[in-house]
Order: sequence, then structure tokens, then C-alpha cells
Amino acid sequence: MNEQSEDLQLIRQIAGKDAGALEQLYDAYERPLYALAYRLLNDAMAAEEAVQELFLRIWNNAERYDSSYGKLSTWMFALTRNISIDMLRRRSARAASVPVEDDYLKAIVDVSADTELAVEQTLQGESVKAALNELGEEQQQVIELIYYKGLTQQEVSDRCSIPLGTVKSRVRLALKQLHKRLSGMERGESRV
Amino acid sequence: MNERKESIMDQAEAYALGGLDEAELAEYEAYLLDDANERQRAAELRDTVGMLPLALTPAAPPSGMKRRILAQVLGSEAPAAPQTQQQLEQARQTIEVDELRRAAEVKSGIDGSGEPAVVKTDRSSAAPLVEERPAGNDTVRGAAPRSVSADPAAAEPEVARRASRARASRGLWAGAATVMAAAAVVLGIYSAQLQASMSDMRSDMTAMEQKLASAAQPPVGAKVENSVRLKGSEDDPDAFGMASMIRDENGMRLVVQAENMPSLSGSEAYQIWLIKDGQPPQNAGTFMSDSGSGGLSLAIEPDDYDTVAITLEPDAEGKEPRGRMVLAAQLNG
Repeated sequence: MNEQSEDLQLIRQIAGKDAGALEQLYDAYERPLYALAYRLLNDAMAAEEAVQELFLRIWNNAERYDSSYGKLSTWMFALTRNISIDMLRRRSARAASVPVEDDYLKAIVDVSADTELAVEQTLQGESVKAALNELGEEQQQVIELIYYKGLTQQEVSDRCSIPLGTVKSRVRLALKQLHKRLSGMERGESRV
Repeated sequence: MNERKESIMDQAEAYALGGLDEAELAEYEAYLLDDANERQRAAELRDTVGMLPLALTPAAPPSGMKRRILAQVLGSEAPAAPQTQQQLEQARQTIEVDELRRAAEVKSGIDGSGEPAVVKTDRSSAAPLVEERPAGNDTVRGAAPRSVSADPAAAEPEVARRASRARASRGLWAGAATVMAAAAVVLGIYSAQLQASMSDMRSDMTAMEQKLASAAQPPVGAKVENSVRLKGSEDDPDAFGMASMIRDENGMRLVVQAENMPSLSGSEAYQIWLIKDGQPPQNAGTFMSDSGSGGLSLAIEPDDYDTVAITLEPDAEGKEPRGRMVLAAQLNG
């Protein structure tokens, strides 16, 4: 059984309210999910809240996962991003919150995660980082603004005073290049 | 491949990255419904984007986060369904308790019609019983008459005493019968009220059962037959929107959504018009919005109209367009 089949099996068990399966899924993805939420929210407590909301949704709606959408990790990262961006928008609608010191994060590191899996994820992360570094600065910028800041192409165009057509073209080229570089890792060859 | 299809497919990367606005997203997702190859391509691009978080600088989760999250998640319940189940169970239990109470009341003299069961208006049976039975006999029916004393000397005073006792007995029995009749009427009313409550609760239970049944049903799919982008006029180049023809189990609907429209002032309103070549525009609805966005949905036959337009009108009363056009699109374009 490959990793993707394992994930499918896990999500089916979770849909059947198997708490052990949920914990297994949590252990497998806690770190990258938290890292994404923290990167988007820059606030440790808010990031934990986002991860909690994600697992609540998974627990209550696991049957909604459709493998034709993409890998389970893709679905979970997309949900985490949506939850975090919604939180960011709510936050910006209110008064700006006090940022959490980075030291807070360093001081309360949880060392219980699966080391082997963490190493695997780190290695994959290095490949993605290398692929990102091969992109031009302008392409990296549109990825940053759209994926991590939650802007639309139109908003990037407005904010950076770049023609919309240019933004679209940078997005297309960046994604095509990343896809070409990473396609070997995408489907079923690794858990994430 | 036509230009329109090419233009939509060019959105795939931005879609996967999350860079489309609502109108573009609706257009692309409508396109995905009909193109399996594009769905596959979109899934692959999403998987590429799904790897981006792996490149992030690791941020170790706070200590105890797993315990807190799993406790919170596993301690939670899916909000709607179990609550409804619980309400249903409570309603069922209440009805069962009421049915038991009702049965007990019937046994003790209250029948289902609300009429008191022990009140006997037929004097042919009730009166002789009162006459022949001593006061204090609490058995109303089925008791054998007590035997008369056998002492002849004592017969007369005994008769007098019996007559006196009989009068007293009649008074007491009459009083008792009145009290019982009143109690029976009160209980009858109470029983009728209980029946009404039971009936209400049965209705609630049926409604809840229907709600549960409908909650268990999968959502009915709607097919997007056509989706076109509304373009801003020369005066409103930033305005945009979508008009989608959606078919569901109830037939065809036109869903119009618009964004970035000019601000309204005074009594101004946006009006949506449906136009068939050579015929006067039909008013499809009016809406007002402070945010410059809005829309509506209406039943429509696919070939009824070929253009949809949104105008900025001086008020919401117009039967024909008087203001300027803000957005428009060919429905079959």
C-alpha cells in the first residue's frame, strides 16, 4: 500500500469516527500544518487555533474529502490556508493584534513528533525550497503575495502597480516551473 | 480550441495558487465541471501548490498542542445532527411518559374522550345504591346490601334511625357525587390538554424526523449550463460580475452576481434587465448595496433572453431602463 492509499484508508477510518486514526493523521501532519498556519498568521496561539479548527473540520466532515481533488495533504494544506486567511481577514477587520514574540515559539518546542517522518518532510522541504529558489524573484513575489498573504491576482496588480496581465503571466510561469520540478514527488511517492 | 476556453484554462495556475477572485473562481469551477482533463490538470497543480508549505522554516508546535487539540476535537460532537437526535429522543420520552400517565388516568376513571367514567347520570342505577347503602361505605358499585337487623323491638326506632341515616347518607352521597363530578370534569379538561400537548409533540417529532431525514440526504447537485462574465462599461471599467445559468431539480435559474459597482446615492438603485433581441428589456429585479456588490437569482427559460445587463437607476421604480449601463454580458456568448 503506498502513502496515498494509507492516507485514504486513514480518512475513511476517521469518517467512521476512529479516534486512533485521527491521532495518526495528526502525528503525520502536525508540524507542516502548524508551520503553514504560523507562516500565514505569525502568531503561535492563532496558528494552534487554525490547526484545531482544521482537525475539527476533518473529524466532522472527513467523508467530504474527495481524492480527485488531490492528495490528502493538499486538501489539508488548502483548508489550513483558507482557515488562516479567514482569520487574518477577521483580524485585519478588528484592531491589529499584538504579535507574539518568536522567543515564545523557541521556548516551548514539543519534541514528541515522529523523528523519521520529520526527517522525510525536511528532505522534501529542501527539494521544494530548491525549486522555489530557481524561480525568478518576481515569480517568488507573486507566490508570496497570493499564497501566503491571501491576495488575488488583481490585488497583487493593484498593490504592486504591475499590469494584471503581467501578474497572471508570472503566476502561470512560476506554477508551470514548480510543477515540472516537483511532479515526481506529487502523487503517491511520499506521504506529503 | 477557442479563445474563451483558452482564456479560462489560463486561469488554472492562479486557481491552484488561490489567486482568483470570486467571479473568476466561479467561472473556472463551472468550466471544471464539464472537463475531466482540466479537472485532472487542476488536481495536479493543486498538489504542486500543496507542497509549498514543506519549504517553510520549521516552526515547532507549542508544547501540549496535540493533547489540547485532540481533547477539543474528540470531545466535540458534530453540531446539528446529534442535537436533533437528542431533541427527538426527548420528545419521544415525553410522549411515552404522557401516554403512561394517560393510561393510568383512564384506569383510575378518566377515559380518552375527556368524559368522567364514573359519573352516572342514570338515576335508575345510582339512586338505589345511595338509598340502600350505609354512609361511609366507600364502595360505590358491586357491594351487597347490608342485612337488616333481626330484632323486632328495635325495628321501629331502627327504621327511624335508618331513615335519618338515609337522609344524611343521601346528603353525603350527593355532596360526594358533586365533588367527584367536578373532579372528573377538571381531570377531563386536563386530559384534553394533555392530548393537545401530545398532538403538538407528535407534530414536532414528525417535523424533526423529516428534518433528520433531509439532513441525511446528500445535497442535490446543480449543473452550471452556462456561465458568462459581466463586463464593466466604459464609465465603470472596474465593475465585474458573473451570470450563470444553473439547472437543478426545480428547473433553470439565472444567478447574477456583481462586484465593484459604483456607489449609490440618494434613492438610486441597481436594476437587472433581461433582453431579447428586438424586444424591450424586461426588469428582472432591483437591488441596493452600499458595498457596490450584490446580485439575485431568478427562474428563467434558457432561450428567453440573450443579454443580461445591470443599470444604475435614479430609483427602484423604473419599468424601463432610464439610467446608465454598468455591466452587461451576452448570455449565450
